[in-house]
Amino acid sequence: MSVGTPSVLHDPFAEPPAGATEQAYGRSPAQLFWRRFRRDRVALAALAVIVALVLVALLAPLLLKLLGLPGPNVRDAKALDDFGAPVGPSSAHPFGVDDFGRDVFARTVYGARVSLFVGLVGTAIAALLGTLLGLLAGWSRGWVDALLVGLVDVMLAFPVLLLGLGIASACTLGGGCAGGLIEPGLRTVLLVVAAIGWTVIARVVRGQVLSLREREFVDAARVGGASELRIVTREVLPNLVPTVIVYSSLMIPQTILFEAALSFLGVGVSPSTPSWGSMLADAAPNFDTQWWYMLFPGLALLVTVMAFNLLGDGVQDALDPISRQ
Amino acid sequence: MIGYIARRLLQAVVVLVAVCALTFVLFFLLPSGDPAVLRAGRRATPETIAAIRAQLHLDDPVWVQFWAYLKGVFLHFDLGYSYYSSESVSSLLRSRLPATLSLTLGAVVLWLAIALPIGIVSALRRRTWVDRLLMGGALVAISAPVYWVGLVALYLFSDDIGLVPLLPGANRYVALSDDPGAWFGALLLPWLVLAGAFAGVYARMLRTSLIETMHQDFIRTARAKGISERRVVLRHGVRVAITPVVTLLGVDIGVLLGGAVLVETVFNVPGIGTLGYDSIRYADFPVIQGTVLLAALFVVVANLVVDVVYAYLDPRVRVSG
Repeated sequence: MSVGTPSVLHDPFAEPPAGATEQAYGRSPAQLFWRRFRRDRVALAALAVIVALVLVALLAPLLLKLLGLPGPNVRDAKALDDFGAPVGPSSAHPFGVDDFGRDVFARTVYGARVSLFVGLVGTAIAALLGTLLGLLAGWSRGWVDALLVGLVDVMLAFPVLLLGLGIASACTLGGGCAGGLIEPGLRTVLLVVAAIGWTVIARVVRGQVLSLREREFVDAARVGGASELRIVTREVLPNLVPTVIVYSSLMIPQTILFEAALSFLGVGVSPSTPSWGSMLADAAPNFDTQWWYMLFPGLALLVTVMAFNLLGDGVQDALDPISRQ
Repeated sequence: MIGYIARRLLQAVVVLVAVCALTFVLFFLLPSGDPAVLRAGRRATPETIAAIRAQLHLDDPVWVQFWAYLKGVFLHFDLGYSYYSSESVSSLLRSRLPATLSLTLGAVVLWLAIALPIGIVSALRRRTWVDRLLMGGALVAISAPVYWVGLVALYLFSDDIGLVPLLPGANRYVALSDDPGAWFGALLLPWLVLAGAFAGVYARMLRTSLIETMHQDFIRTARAKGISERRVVLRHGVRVAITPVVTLLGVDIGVLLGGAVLVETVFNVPGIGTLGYDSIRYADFPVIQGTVLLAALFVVVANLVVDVVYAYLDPRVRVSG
């Protein structure tokens, strides 16, 4: 096997690093980010898919009405055959129906709502929590830092799915937890996602803060008479933004898969809310005869997670052009 | 070196005690099913339930129960008894471990065999159609939910219901000691499904790492010495680039030995993962606690091994770590 010629290996040096040719002065970091991001055709395509998915999720009722399909929980007895078994894809039901005669297309479309909501909002909560705790630990050091690092170590040693199942089933069985603040269903799923997801972000943010606090611009701000709070919010926090954005965007697909796994195992959103994970759980016992009920939610999940993975890669490349080399 | 290992061992014990404590807090503070009610059966009188509560020491204060548990675990290696089946938790775990071990180790071998060549070829043929094709495949592999891939694979390949019955005995786990052939047949599909997900991650990681490494000065030096390109890549490049992959491998093996809940569920593999899942559904607290502790033990030991190997390879770690 010949393993590549030197000219192939030197490929990245043949092109100038991103930003070298463009006028880098007088542009905000956001503008620079966008200039690099929009050159990445794959990431743009992923973004377009995500925008389309968000629109489908938001306009689900309208979309179904336009296509003349029933709602996600409408049971159509006529769609079952003489033995009460569901019928596969037809003109009336493009993705077929499930055991109760509910339209699989409608349920798949509505399932996007749960996945996108938990993926975006859950990740945002986890990122916010992780940033706050990481900032607190890295800035105060001492025992606060030791405590947080220890807690992160413990959380990372914990089997993630069992922890999620434990919290979720406790909150579901008892009709809610934390004094009724966390109801079963969506709120419980968000709680689980946040309780598990903050660790990664907190760890990275802490490391960054530990190095940022030694930098000269922090000394300069202190000499200039800035208060601790001002230094943290005005000097340190803005420097954390790129890191937090990169890690959050890479976390979204993981969060979506995690929610689907919880729903698949029966502790996600409530059964009446269609979600891709719970649809797959419903499909699992009869997947050999009702292939359509297994295929479409899984494909929807695959496409969504792929789009977010590609977007995350693109965001990472655009915010951190050096690591591309 | 000994001082470093001792320090890391102490940290590991602290983490394990903290995991115990967290599990206790989690399942006592959050309202889950009452184990006494579950154990008593359907038509239990309040007296029976009260008697069971006393027998299980459920009315003792939490810290008394916790202390008794810790003493049992660390002094006598006693993990207690299942509320549900009255079997001892350690014998339950022991009976489930072979399945999880088989699943994990087979999958590890498989995913390394898939990921390493893909990562290397992709890095060397960067931005060619080969690279795009392989990385596209890796992206699909990391994006697909593993239980769905499992269902699709069963639909296509299992011998009883599959369209193309290639793989015999999938879905029916047999112990290795009973029938090695059936064991292999039953695990082939779960191995492939589990390995696929990880192979994607590892191929992407090795590619990035190798691309970075191939631009370092020592690679230029190696080339300048006139060594064959193959040797430059394999002996010099990959050897350095594989470091982050090894770290991740240690952690992933640790995590998987704690039970692959989703794959075990889909393929009916009676492993640690299904045990933990069932114990949560039955509010079988001693079994939950035992499963979580075993999983945490594997993760902690895996981290320890990785760290010690690094300390051995790189003296700087010993001083600062």
